[in-house]
Amino acid sequence: MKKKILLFFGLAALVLTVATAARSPKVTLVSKQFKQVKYIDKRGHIRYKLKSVDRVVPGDTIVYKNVVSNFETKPLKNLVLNNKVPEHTSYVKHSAKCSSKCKVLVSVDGGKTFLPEAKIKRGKKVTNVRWILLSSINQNSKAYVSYATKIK
Amino acid sequence: MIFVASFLEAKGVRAGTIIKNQATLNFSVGDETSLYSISSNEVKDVVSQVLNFVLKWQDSEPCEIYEGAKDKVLNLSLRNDGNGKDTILLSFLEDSTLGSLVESMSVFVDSNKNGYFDKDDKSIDEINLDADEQRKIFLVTSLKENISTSKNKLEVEIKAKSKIGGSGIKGTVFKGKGENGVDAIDGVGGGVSFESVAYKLVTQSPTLIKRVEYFKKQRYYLVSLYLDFEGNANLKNLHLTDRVPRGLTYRKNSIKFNKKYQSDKRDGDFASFDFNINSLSIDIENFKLPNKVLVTYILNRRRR
Repeated sequence: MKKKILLFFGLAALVLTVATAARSPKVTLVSKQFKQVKYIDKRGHIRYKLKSVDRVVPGDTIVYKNVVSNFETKPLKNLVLNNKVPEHTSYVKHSAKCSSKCKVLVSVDGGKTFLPEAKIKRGKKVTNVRWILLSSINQNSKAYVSYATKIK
Repeated sequence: MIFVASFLEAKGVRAGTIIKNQATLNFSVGDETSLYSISSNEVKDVVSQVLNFVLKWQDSEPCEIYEGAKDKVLNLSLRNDGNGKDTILLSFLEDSTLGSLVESMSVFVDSNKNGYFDKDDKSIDEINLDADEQRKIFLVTSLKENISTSKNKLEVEIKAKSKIGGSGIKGTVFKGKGENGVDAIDGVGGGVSFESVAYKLVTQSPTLIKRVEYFKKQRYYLVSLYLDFEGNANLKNLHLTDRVPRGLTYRKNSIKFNKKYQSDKRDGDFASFDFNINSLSIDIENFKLPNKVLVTYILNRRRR
């Protein structure tokens, strides 16, 4: 009898999980891109500015910004974003950032393992970037992560 | 605000390459135990074609050229530093202050890729080069006879210009004109590369002074031939002859070349004497500056 009860609750939990997972949460993830442009300000200092991308050429630095928007009634938790560094580009060192508190990890083996950027050996090519958001995103709120790549 | 267009310098990813970015997100909602996963839209970029060339003169010093000179060659290299195929138009501009010294001037490509100009190389005014491809080209010039100029250089400006773009202004966009219909952009040199090359104009006016001294007591004449050169070129294949006047005979083995005795025979040394036609012959294969040549020989009076 005890076994039957356990089996019943187990099955019920599974059905609930599948049902929950099957629904489409009202959450969007939008990827945007910008071109980083260098300029000299009035004081003669070198500055950088983000512009919309019209066309790209080798040597250009592209900043990708991934924006998460929560339209659920409850906060989003356990947020982990992953981004593969596009082919023909190279990751710009220490460019991965977040709008809120987060932990940035990178991979040099195609996403099999991740490490903090500071622990990556010199000369290794970053293949993937991961952001672990340490805070939740409330209802009708947004958060974003970004990183930069240079076109080879 | 001055924008620093550091791009457009580097050769790199081929024009037309598509660069895609897509992110994924894993999360849970509220206290739900389920983990959700969603993907972002895919952001795409198509790499445009950068039009860049490098035209470089390769000779360590100007090639010597002189009146009547034929097919004098200057060596250059042309490299497509862009990231796509292009046709490069080649033209040149001769220094106008020199007037019309030039009989012919053409650009040739090293068609057989042997590294030097020869009869197999073709005269061109445009060349197709793939990304990162380099070819050797030659500027080949012949000068007219009887020219006169006070200048000592013949300067020529060679221009390589992209057929796709080549506005001369960095960053000029040619929509859809690049490889496979991508946009093309003039690179750091504006899709144009200039190189100034020069020939060293040399004059060739050797002077020959003949001096004859009579030594009365010994009854002979000492003939001295002084060959000097006013110009600034090295001469090749010089040949000097002198005939013995009537009433005089050549004294055997008296020829000296720069104070060194020469044999009378036509052999490996500079001078020889043909007794049949009473003529002295001097062959100087190369006359290198600042050398001077002194040839002496003795003529005896014929006995009556």
